[in-house]
Amino acid sequence: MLQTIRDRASGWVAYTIIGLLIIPFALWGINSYFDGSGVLNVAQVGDIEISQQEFQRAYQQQRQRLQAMFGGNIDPALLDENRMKQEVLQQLVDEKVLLQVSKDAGLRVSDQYLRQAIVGTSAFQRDGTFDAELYKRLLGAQGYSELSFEEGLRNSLATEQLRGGVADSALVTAKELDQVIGLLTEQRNLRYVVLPFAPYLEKASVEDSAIEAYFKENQKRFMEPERVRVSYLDLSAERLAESIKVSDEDLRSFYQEQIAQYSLPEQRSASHILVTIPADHKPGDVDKAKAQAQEIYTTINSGNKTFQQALDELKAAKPSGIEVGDLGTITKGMLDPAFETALYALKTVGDVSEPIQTPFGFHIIRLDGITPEKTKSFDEVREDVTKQYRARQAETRFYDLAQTLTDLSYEHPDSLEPAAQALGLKIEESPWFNRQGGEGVLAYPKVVTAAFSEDVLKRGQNSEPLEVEPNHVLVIRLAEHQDAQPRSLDAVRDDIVKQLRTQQAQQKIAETANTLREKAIAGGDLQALAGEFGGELKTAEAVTRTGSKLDSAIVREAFRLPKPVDGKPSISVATLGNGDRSVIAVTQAQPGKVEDYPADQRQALAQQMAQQRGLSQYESLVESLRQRFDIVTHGDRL
Amino acid sequence: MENYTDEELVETIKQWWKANGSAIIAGIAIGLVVIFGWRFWTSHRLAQAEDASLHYDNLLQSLTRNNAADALRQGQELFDDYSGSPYADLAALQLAKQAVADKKMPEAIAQLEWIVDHADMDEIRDIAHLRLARVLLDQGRLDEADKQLTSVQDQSFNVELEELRGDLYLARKQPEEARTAYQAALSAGGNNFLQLKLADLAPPKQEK
Repeated sequence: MLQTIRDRASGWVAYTIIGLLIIPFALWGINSYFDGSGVLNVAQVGDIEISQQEFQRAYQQQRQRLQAMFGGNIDPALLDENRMKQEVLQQLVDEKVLLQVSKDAGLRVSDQYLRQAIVGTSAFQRDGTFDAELYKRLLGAQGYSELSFEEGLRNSLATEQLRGGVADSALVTAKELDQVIGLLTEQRNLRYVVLPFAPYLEKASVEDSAIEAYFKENQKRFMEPERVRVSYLDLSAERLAESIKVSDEDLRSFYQEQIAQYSLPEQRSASHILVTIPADHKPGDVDKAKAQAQEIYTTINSGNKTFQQALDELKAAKPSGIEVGDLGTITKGMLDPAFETALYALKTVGDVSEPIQTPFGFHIIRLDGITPEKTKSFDEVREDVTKQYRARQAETRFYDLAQTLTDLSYEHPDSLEPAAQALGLKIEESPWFNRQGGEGVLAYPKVVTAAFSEDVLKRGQNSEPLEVEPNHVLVIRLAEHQDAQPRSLDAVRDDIVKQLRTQQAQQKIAETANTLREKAIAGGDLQALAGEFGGELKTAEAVTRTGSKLDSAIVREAFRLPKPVDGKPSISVATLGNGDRSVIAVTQAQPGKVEDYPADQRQALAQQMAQQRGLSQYESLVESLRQRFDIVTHGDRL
Repeated sequence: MENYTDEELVETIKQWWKANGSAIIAGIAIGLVVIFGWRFWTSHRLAQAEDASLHYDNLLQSLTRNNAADALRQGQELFDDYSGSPYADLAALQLAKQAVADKKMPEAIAQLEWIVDHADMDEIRDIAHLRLARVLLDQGRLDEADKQLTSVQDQSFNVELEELRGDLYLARKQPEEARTAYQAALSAGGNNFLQLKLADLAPPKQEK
């Protein structure tokens, strides 16, 4: 048969078969050329791709930066994951744009500059000098090779040069600065009528029909939110501790193990004479200090003076470079090791040491007293020992039990019973709660999140073990669920009344203020209008933008208004923080005196303007550069 | 296929080599020259860029040390030997800023004009146009400033462009046009100082 195939497999038959084979190979083979090795990119900028790995690294670094900046109290809005991811992606895209532009344009820093940047980075320094070992270790920890890190740094230094070159070189001319200062220090004279809000609120009345209509229209806002009850197992080392049985024997051996905790080590008190070495000392200074200290020591040692006499004399004379005094009680580990060794080498009270060198200088030490080591007896500390023993034992048991809890709650996802029996725990029941949580275990966000999670709420399974605190684990499951429900009108009536009255009063006062404004613009006298509309007329002279005692809403509006022209005041309405309305008339505007503006403030303002302008120009530059590339981002792959 | 004896085959190859050998050698030679030439060219470009960067960095350090003469010298070297490098443009931007701070307006104008004539990057040239307009406005050379503004190409710079237009109109005592320009700047993104300038203008005519 094979021979037959061979014979036939020539001419058109063969070509047809090959032709047919080409089709699937062409179609199914081709995509592997485009997908590369199957690595997904989060974005592509021109020819450069941003891989998921690179994105993740940048994202983690950003998170760490934020955490370092705010410690434990991060504003949750800052940690809005999606927003942060988008921002990080945008940054990466801009980086790639700038990288390609810099390369094409010929921006590249020299080896020397690169070396300076690395050596000057404080993270790579130990005691103020560059540490090559530390450098390599840190790079390794971040997953960089030296070569790739240095290439990356070189690139970012070059783009930083571009940024600095544009953003730090913006111009602000003196004339322009004068103009802005004139505007900033401008003074305006105002006459304004304040209409108080309270009477409007009192007068506002609401019909029952309006309340009902509002209730019907806004039913969605008056819902009792979805709520649940859960059953849970609560395992904590703290609770276990209460059930640990203790014997006198165990406690005594535990006490022996921990005896160091119940002992106070020997303490010594001392005085010293210190010949200091200046912090910025020159080569000869150390020898000079040493000689001086030796001289003092010799006078004491030879018996010419006692230590006390020498100390008193120096205390009275106060020569520069010498400090004397009583150091009080010293425990081991408090002071410089050299000092400590010398102090503990002294045998009896009153002994004086030779000059000892520490970073501060040369010390002559006198031992003033010894408080011997003291150990508390078992009976004295029995209570504390019991507590610690229990805590220690509970912790060990906790780890075993937590493992059992994890296993059993996972093996029997439909019941807490097996785990409860194995652990000897009681299944507890929570009260009703919604997504806001509640008290006790409901105060833990993890518990609330788990209670409303897909697994627990929809599938009715055990939650995974929730470690709410160290050594404290909960497993929960749904007991009862209630959908969101409309609240009754009676329950929300007061809220609605308040809301409607406020709305009505706001509308009325706005109308009144507007009428007043129109009449004032038409030329009505403010004094008379104030009387007519139940307001009070006030005047304010030489009001400035900042530092005025007037309500900030009034000042803001007064300076938002155009300048009065030909003695015709500019008039507008402002809403104050407490709901009062104010009709404001700017009667006069005097430009500020530029020459009175303090020089340092002028300098600061010039800098601020230049900075803002430079930054805006740089951002425009980046925006324009972005348009040079085809940029594709995949927000769904973040 | 025709059948050759060994000798005939050798003879044929020799013939063929005579006809085509020099062409092949020339081809290989050209290929090698192109490869090495390209490598030489790229490494030369990198070295040039690094040198220019070093000069620029020195210039910045001279400026921080308030050594204007040295900064100018570094800048001149960049303009003479690296005129195609963006570092020369950045240097001119920095020197122009220093000149304005020292109230040497003609020098600032010269620096910025150098960028307009030499810059490779359109964006840098646009920035130079904007800054030049700012300095010319300060000098009261309004028509020249106007010309600089019309030379700005990229729409990305609209905030600054419209603000400068407004300032220019104001200098020409055309407050209505100035307002329109400031408002355009504000709607393009704006900055803190635009509101100040707007509030200082007389009210628009239709509201009177």
